[in-house]
Amino acid sequence: MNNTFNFKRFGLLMKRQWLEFGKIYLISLGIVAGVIIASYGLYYFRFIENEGMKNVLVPDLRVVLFFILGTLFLTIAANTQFSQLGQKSKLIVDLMVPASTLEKFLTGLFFSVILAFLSYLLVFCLIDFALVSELKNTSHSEALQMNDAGQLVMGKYNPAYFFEKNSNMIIQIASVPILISSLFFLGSVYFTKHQYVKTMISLMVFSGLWITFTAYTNKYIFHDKVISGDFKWIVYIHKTEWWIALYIVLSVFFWAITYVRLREKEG
Amino acid sequence: MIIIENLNFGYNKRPLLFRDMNMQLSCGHIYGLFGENGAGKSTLLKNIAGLVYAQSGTLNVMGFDPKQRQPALLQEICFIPEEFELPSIYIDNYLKGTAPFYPKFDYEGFKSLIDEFNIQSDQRLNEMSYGQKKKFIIAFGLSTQARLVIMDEPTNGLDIPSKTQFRKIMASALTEERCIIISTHQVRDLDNLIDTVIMLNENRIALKASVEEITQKLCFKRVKELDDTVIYSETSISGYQAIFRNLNQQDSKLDIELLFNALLHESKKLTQIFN
Repeated sequence: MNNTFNFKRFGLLMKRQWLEFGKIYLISLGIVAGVIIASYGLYYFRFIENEGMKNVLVPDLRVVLFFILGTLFLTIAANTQFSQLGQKSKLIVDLMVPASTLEKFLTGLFFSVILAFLSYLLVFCLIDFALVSELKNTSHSEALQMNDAGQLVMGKYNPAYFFEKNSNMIIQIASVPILISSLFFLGSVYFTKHQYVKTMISLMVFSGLWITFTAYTNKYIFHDKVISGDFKWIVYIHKTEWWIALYIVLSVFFWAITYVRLREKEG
Repeated sequence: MIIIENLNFGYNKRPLLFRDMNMQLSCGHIYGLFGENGAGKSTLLKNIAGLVYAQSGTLNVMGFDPKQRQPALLQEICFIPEEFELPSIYIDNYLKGTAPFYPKFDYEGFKSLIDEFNIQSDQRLNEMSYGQKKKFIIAFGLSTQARLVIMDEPTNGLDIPSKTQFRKIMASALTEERCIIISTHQVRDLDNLIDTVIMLNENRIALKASVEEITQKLCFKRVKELDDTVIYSETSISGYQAIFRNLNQQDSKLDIELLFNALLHESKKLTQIFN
């Protein structure tokens, strides 16, 4: 018997996880869908149909919504995976399930990162597709918009689909929520109580240090490649791939620590 | 089946709970593990199951090091913790999700145990009473056909008829290949069930002896007057409950509670007798 990894046991763990958490997961996804629909309804439809807003630029807040809601969903999903390991009453039952730590870890990773991210992306894009299609068909409002050349023009409001407009951006910024979720994943194993809050506080401290660190290293390393604004610590880096690679490396690093902590977890 | 050698264990920043502990447990026995609060009964069970890690020493459980938590070992261990929480799912779904991890899982046996414990199979696990949950997890654990059964206070929360059922079920669960370890404060619940007594005291195994050996060496009697051969006694309504050296090979029934108290108060005398 392979005691490190076995596809049958891995499949059984996935099934067990789904039977125990599938319903909660689907309800959470339903809430996320509700928030997306409500945000679209409250913001876009009301805004576009309001004739008094004709001369105002319609900002695309979908990126902000996608990012914030996605981060929230992913972090909660990541934290839920192993948060029960903080409760002694659940911990022993879970640790004694006949599967290897690697299999348990990978199951958690699948549900908290892969499934959570893909299902969120799917729900967001489907809702966007449905509502933007509806908006394209029914709206006759004119609005000030930014065209492909970056100029502000007045015309029939014809918003692009989120994925069509932001596909590159999604790939680029996806690494950030994944990095954040990897920290929450670690927090769920590292802390024994109030994992989400404690991870959030740790993340805030970490973010502060990280921003300070990046601001100064950016200035030092990319001195001739960056455009600095009035705020000296806010910089725009053209080499986005570097950051994506760094975030992925950091995510893998945090996952590795999570795995080690999971191995060391005591009942 | 279980070999413990020079085990040293202590929780962080606290004095060692076990010092150079040595013990061997074999198949075909039901061991009763006793000790005062905080003596380390649950901790010893957790060490055996690989749920906690010792500072030093070796633990060999069926040829495995339990701290590795290898699936091959885990599927041969049924651990019934004192406190546990079950997911908010129906019994059927729990079976579908967890039973396949145990290759020898006895579905028919599980059904008959559930029936014997009077548990309705159409309930959500989290909606059951504590006693029902306990009976469910015992039924599930025994149905895994695991060779090592570890139970920490299994009779807590069970009503009187359920305790009787528990004793009956446990007696029938013992096979030549199985080793059962039960830790409890409810010594009466294990009457006529255990065949070997393990008592923890002062960071070590103070006594490990079969019921047969104990009753060969000691005699448990109710007497009106004490003589010099008494090892330990407690006053009772009609005189004394006492433990004597069994010099005349008299038959008597083991009183675990009395023996445990004797061990706490007359440790040296008992150690001399059993070593």
